[in-house]
Amino acid sequence: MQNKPLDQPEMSPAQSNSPKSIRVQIVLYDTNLSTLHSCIESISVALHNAAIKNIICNPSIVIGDCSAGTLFSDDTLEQFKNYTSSMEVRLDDYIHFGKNLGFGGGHNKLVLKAEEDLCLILNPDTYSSPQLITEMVPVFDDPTIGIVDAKQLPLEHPKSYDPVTMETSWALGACLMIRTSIMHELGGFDDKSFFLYCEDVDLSWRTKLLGWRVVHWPHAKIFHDKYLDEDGVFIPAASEPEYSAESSLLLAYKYSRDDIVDKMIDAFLHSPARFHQKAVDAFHRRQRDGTLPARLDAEHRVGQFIGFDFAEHRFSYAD
Amino acid sequence: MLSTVFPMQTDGYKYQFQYTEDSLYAQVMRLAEKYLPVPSSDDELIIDIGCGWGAVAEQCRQLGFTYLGCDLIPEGLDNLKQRGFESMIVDISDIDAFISALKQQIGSRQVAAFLMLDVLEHLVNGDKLVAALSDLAKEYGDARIIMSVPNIAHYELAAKLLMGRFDITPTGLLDQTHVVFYTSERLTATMSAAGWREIAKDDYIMYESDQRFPALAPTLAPNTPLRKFLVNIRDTADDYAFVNQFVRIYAPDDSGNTIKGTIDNKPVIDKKYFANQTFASVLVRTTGSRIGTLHDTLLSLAAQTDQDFEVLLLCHNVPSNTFDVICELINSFPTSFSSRINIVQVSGGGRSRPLNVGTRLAKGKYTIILDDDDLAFGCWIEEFHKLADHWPGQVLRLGVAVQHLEDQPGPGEYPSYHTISRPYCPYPKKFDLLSHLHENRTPPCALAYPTSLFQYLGIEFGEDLPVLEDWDVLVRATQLCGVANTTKVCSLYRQWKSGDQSTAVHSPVEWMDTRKKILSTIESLPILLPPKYINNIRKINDLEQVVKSLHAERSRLMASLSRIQMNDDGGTSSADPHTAALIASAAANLDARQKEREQLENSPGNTPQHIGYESWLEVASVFAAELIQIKSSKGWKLTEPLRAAGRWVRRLTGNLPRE
Repeated sequence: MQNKPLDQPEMSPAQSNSPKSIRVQIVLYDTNLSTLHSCIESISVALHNAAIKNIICNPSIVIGDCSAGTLFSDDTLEQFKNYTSSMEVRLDDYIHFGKNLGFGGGHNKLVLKAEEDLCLILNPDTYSSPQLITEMVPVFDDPTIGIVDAKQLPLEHPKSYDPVTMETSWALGACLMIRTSIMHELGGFDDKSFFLYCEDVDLSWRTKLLGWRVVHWPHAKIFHDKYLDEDGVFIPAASEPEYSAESSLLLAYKYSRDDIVDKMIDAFLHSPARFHQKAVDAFHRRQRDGTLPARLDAEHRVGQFIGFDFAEHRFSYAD
Repeated sequence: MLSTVFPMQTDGYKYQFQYTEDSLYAQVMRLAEKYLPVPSSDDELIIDIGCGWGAVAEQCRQLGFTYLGCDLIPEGLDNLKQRGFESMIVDISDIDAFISALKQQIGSRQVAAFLMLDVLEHLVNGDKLVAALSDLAKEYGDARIIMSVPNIAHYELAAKLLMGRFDITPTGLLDQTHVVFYTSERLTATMSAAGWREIAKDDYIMYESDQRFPALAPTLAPNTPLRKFLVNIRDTADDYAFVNQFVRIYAPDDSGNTIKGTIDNKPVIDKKYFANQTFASVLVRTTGSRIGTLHDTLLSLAAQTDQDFEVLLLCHNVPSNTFDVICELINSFPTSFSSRINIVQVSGGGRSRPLNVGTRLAKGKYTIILDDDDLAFGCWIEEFHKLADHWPGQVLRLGVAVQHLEDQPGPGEYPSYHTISRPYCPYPKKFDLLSHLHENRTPPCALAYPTSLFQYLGIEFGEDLPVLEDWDVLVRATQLCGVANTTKVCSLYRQWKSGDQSTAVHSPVEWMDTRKKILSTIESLPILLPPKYINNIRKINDLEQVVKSLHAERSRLMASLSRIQMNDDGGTSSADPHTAALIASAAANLDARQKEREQLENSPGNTPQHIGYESWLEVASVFAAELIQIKSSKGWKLTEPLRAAGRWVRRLTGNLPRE
């Protein structure tokens, strides 16, 4: 790993002295109802399991909806509420935004009113381990840790982590727990720059710039389904290549890596994929409009650019 | 009554049978001697219901019992009286009257046992009679009952049905007066429902029954491949393929519990059970040594898009404290999932034992194995379900990827691990039976077997096999069911870089020996190939011939090479160096590939390797390409003998460059 802080305390999640309050935020976009049901059921149980061990208190779930129309009826919402309340979890809010705010934008709206100690950013297409919350929350007993992410199954993310400190370059947004105070201090995700993809990397790095540590906790797990082709090659989501290309360029720019920006633009311009050209066009448009993000990390303390990845990887799904 | 039991048809009466030491009656009396208490007085009764001529009367007396014969046929009873035995004429079709008369006859005496030898199948209300006798047995000192009942599922009856024959005969397995037919299951269910508990059995075996006619029919004649194939199926299905009569002793069942379990344990089957079956039973084998990966496996099941399945969590030799941890883990999942997990403790045996326990308990239409370090993608069950809808009854096969993982020590309650390679798909995308006869080329998590294979055809994972137990079942199952295949990758078969994987635990010798044993079993039986398969065999055979020819050509190439080198030494070479190099390369290549083949043939484990048609094709293709290169060189004349072989290969492979 690069850019390790000089001071590396060993990871030792002690038992929580007092239960922490927590909210779970889920942002929908044309989410399948059955998928959402699984998500809410499993995270409710995970919250319940942690609550009865006195690890958390006052658990709640809030849902924001970026879909064009509301995804479910009041009756369905009532069913969800009935289930969560049977697990002693509040389903506080279902907010239909009326437009697609993007991943970061949706979560930023939801987090505005958050007063809980911790905030779990959770994708709706996940199924939480029953121990997810029980495993993640005690990690915050270490006062230097700002963000924790979970292991994803069935395909683990290959980004590396320190086996002793568990520090990692960035935390995956599909299941990311953060101190709510940090979210407020940072103003949440940078949704002006990142519509989809890389917003979690940016949030992690800005958190690091505040002096917090970001760790991976592999005992906390979620099932976040992925797909392989018949040769075992990872098939990204339809939106991923396009949005991640644009976001990657902006991330490199934001973290003051002009060398990476140049390399990416060169590679994209030589790519046969049209979305690569589009990403370059969008970048140049922002340049002209003066809407590129403010630059950070001039000394390259937190930003990691390994090839086109943002951490060292144990292996590559793309090989 | 069965004519096969040494008939003595005196006076023209067909049911007059005699006791001999190798008869059914001898087996009945051996059960009586072993399982009836020694009589406390000489008037303790054995009551033979439907006794005929009382073939066992003398033997009962020899054991110290008083014999009482009951029948409707006076000739037999008269014969008994002449021999000094007590008898009564009864009509057992009127059960109440019979029981009443019997009570009077018994009086104050004790009853040791009832005998019903080849009687039940003649009675429409036989189930009610044995129920009434059960009540009577409790009144008279906890009497036993010994039954002999013809087996309607004898192999030779099945063989006859395959020829459209159900040949009723005056006596025998298909006696013209039989009105109810019994399999072992049905007899057990009937007796259980009547309040009897089986104590022991000594079934009467007849490899050649009275139904073996015409004796030279291919389903009946010994040593025909058809009979061998069918007998293997019938013999595997249960233990009664050649049982002529079930010979069993029962005691009254005081528990009040009839046998519970599968649908078969009822005298009359309710077909609704099959219509309402859950789609699949997922067998998860664990020794409890990796709670972390077990958790992940279960999580991947909980997250399935199709939840029409149950889980049988087979805890194999799991210590009690670990078992408690597993139970706690299960209970932590949402009840919508945990309520469908059946935790089963399995003790003893090898890797196959828990699978056999699981397949017996499975309630799903299909049985699928997912070991505790493998993972399912969200669509795993859904894709199996789709295949089953299109190809019901076949073995279902999905795409599967391999991924490597290793332990990752660190903080936390349980040991952790992480993956260290990208997934890859080394197994054939399309199932091919012949290549699977060489070795296993499909991991268990890619397969769903119809559960009936295990519960109705009796297929088991070989408990004598330390490894490769799934290969043996795969070969047998795919022959019988065929395979429905999709290439969509739906699971991860994960292999540890180090640790307790079976390839590390078992020695290469053990792998080799087991492989030989399985191959030997496969060799011993006729094999069933899918339609249109002969063409594949012909192509392999042709390719083998080609490669053999290429081997022969190798010798000639080497000889040519020697000559070229000699000429070079003498400074009079007529061939260019490029041609000589090509010839040497071709010969070396063939050598290398031959060695590779030999190594693969002898390699342990079920790692994916290319043997069979594909490997022959590969060898031949490479050679054909090299031959074409040689032809384009100046020294073509030196390789003239290869031209024919090259054309031969291209004709066979069909997809190689043209000359």
